[in-house]
Amino acid sequence: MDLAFSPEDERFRLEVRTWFEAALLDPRFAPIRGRGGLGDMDAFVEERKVWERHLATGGWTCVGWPEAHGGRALSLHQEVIFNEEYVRSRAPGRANHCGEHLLGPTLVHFGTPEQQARYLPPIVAGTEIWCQGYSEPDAGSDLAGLRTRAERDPASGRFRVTGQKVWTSLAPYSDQCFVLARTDPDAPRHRGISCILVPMDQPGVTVRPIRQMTGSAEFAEVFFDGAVADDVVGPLHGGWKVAMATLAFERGASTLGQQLAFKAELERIIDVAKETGAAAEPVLRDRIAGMWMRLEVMRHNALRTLSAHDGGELPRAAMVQKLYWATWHRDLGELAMDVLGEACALTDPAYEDLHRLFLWSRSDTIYAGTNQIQRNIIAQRALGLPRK
Amino acid sequence: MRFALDDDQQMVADAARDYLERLPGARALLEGADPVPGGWASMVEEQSWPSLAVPETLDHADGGGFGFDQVATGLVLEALGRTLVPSPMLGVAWATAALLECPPAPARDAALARITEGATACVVWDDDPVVVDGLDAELAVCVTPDGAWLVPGLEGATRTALPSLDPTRALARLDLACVERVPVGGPEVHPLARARAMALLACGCVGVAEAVMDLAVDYAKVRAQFGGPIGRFQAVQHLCADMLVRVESARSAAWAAAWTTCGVANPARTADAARSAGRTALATAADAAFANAGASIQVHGGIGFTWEHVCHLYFKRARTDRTLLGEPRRHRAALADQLLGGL
Repeated sequence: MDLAFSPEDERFRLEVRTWFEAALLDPRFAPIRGRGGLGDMDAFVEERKVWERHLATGGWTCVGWPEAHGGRALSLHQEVIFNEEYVRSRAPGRANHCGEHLLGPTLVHFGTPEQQARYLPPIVAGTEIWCQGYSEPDAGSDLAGLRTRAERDPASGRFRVTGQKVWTSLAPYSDQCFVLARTDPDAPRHRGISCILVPMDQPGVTVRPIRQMTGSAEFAEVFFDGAVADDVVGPLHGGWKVAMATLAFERGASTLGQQLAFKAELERIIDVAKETGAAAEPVLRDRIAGMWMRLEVMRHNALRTLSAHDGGELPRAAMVQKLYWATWHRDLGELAMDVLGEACALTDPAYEDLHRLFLWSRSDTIYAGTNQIQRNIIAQRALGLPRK
Repeated sequence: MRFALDDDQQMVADAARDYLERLPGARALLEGADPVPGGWASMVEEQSWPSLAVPETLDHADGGGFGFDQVATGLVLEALGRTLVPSPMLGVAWATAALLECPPAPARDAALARITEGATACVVWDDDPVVVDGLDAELAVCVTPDGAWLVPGLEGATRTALPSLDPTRALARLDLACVERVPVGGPEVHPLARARAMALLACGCVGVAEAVMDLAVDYAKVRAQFGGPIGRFQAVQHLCADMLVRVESARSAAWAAAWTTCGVANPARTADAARSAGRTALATAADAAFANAGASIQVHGGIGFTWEHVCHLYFKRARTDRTLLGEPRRHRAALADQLLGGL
């Protein structure tokens, strides 16, 4: 056991830090520093696309991909360090998360050489933005119930996609969408699904932003009405396995960066508590210290999970992480309002970030598996309790 | 960076668990039988736990230990918490940690050597007369913010066994007024020894938290109501899932603290980092053990409320351990002073 990173990894950290410090001195990026993260994803999107292309010039996109596909083939530890330094530098939120972390690794694994040659280079260059078409109005936690259909025209070999997706992040700004669609309506529900790549700029695609309780619109509904598509990733009707693999490609490299971002939010609340006098209230002192401790635990859960990845097993510490951080972050949002006290009733621009945190964090315990689904998964997969 | 057990650590943990699970253990207490035939001497003989953290060579005394870092000792305490086998190991581990924070000297090294040979030991914290494993200890270490003193023999001490809520934890009142003591360390010992003690106690809580979860999950798989096991109900599943969240969080915190507070494992440690790691671990793990012990009784239903079932032993251990080095709210208050300034 050794909780310190190696000297080699620390040298890499310094390299990342040096590049980002210099890059962010560019006046083009000054207004967007610290913007565009979760809860703020629709802010400065065009400027953030410029930042994506700038990142690419430094070779800082797709850092975990194989070198043959334009990545740096970073070790998991170095990718973790990269993400920590990214957050520490207050660089703007990534505009192409779905392309780099979800679709890209899926194509590296399942794509044909032609598909890899067509789709991977623009992701590395930061010039083609992707969104994810999974959830539907009637298929949320129960994703396999999805009803969007894709029919292949036997003559041209092209697909026609019809149906509705929902909760699609950044859809209005995306060039492409990877869509889970039913290609064999007669097959059992997990077996008739395919992963189809659909260009967004065509008459058969309509995007309608969803305004959230925060007032911003980071998600959208996407309507497909005979939209045309050429590529299926992986086997036809084999999309369920592809989708599950896509979710598993997330190696947990972002967890320490996320913990650092959370720490900055907690530190902000501590500063506000000192301003408002909340820091003198024993009940709030207890809660602030409790949040700080849980945040440390989050970091150590993440480190244990990373070390277990080295050994190839998925440990119990990994299975509790989503539930743990989502609940923590929602509690942080409530703490932010309690620390503001009576001022929380007013939308003072000075505390806009705290209101956004308060409202946004209601989504944390819902997306990517609700807290209740997480508990089902833990009970059934980690503890072996019966499904029925 | 590797936050996982090394081969040596895994071996110590497996051996401790195998050994302890073969003993009559806590259940024997309920039946009035001897939980550990052969007593501490046989545990030392078979498992050499007191030697784990002692350096391989001691300057002024014969004999040495294995020189492992503190994580190995923490894993033994985890196994003891898991099985609730009564032993003086917590007192021995605390005393060893306190002595290891004192500079090498003949008195200190002789005490460590005696501990490796099976001498029982305890720590008197901040002149508190209530002492864990104090009744039968052969030597004591007194640790206060002013320094550390060794009490090499307790023959002249007045000792009274205290009736304790947890029958597996021996608490005693010690009066050391007329007993010889020798100084072994300065004011720098207290924060580090205390942080290590918190980490070690937290490891024991992890064992409790996991044992009661396993009992609940096993029971939920076999207890049938409404035509099937109660573990198929989401209401029960979610109680169990929350137990696992607490177990893994407590384990992460306790292992991290065992590593962070130990100078052998973490040569770059600071007193501040050690203190906050110890507090975080103990507050987290003690709350986890207590919440899980309560939830386990709930999952067991009526049988969990009976004297015959071990649930109440874990429940009492969890509540007791939660107070031994300060209640979780005290640790949070101390951390709040650090984060927010004092009141």
